[in-house]
Amino acid sequence: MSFTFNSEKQGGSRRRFALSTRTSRWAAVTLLSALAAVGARQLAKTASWPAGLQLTVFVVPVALVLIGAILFFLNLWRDIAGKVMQSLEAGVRVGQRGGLVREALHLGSPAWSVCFVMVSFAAYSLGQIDGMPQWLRLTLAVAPIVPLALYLGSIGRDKAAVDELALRVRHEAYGFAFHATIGLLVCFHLLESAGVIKNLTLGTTQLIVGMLALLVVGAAISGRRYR
Amino acid sequence: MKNSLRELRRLKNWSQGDLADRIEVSRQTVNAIETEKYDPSLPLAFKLAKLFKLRIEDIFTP
Repeated sequence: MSFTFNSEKQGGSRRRFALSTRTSRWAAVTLLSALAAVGARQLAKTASWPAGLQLTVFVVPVALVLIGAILFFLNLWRDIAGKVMQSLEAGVRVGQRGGLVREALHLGSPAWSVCFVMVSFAAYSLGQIDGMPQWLRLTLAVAPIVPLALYLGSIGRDKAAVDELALRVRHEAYGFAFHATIGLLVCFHLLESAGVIKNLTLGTTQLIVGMLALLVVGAAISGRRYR
Repeated sequence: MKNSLRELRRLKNWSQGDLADRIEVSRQTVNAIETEKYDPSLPLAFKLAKLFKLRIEDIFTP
């Protein structure tokens, strides 16, 4: 996973900012735990387990999500801060064609996708509060459009910034996530129609979390192949 | 596809990172090409050929 760092001005070079292994690992832990939490919640609804067990099955993944998210953002901050400090040490430099090259931090599509998910989650959670005026409810409903637009814009910029192998890894990960999601959905509906799965519904949240988790898995598989 | 990139790089006494900087790709890409896990695109193959002052078919063999 990499971010574009340092958008060039007047002929400056473009560098890439790679997430540290630790940050990527915590991102994966968070996403997989979120998936486990969603699954556990659904299971707890359907299965006739004791209340204590239901709570444990749900609380453990949620705790892992929280811990994972905190450690992910701490490590992300450390990665970014390290790069910014490195940049500050270099200072403002003269570009190849003259003129000052201003160092700037530009977060790429992974960061905007995380931002989109967080804003969507926050908007959804706040939207559940009773007695909220309609205009505020509407504002919350459309709030995720902003990070979504930034995310879509950053995909194109990222594509131009990464080298061809990274681009291939990314494409393979998208392909894996897309096809695996379709495959799992088909399996789910087949099991549902066969009566194996009862009272279990797949909502938008589960789908998004599932796709993100599969994207991480796809990127890991593809990245390992070319290592 | 087989290639002689590793030998050519060693002749120049370059590290994978040095070569990666010269052809503007990541070190992982150079490593993947050298270990024949990844076949480069045509523009990248031309870049390599130009850098080593060889023809593409001198570096890569099917």
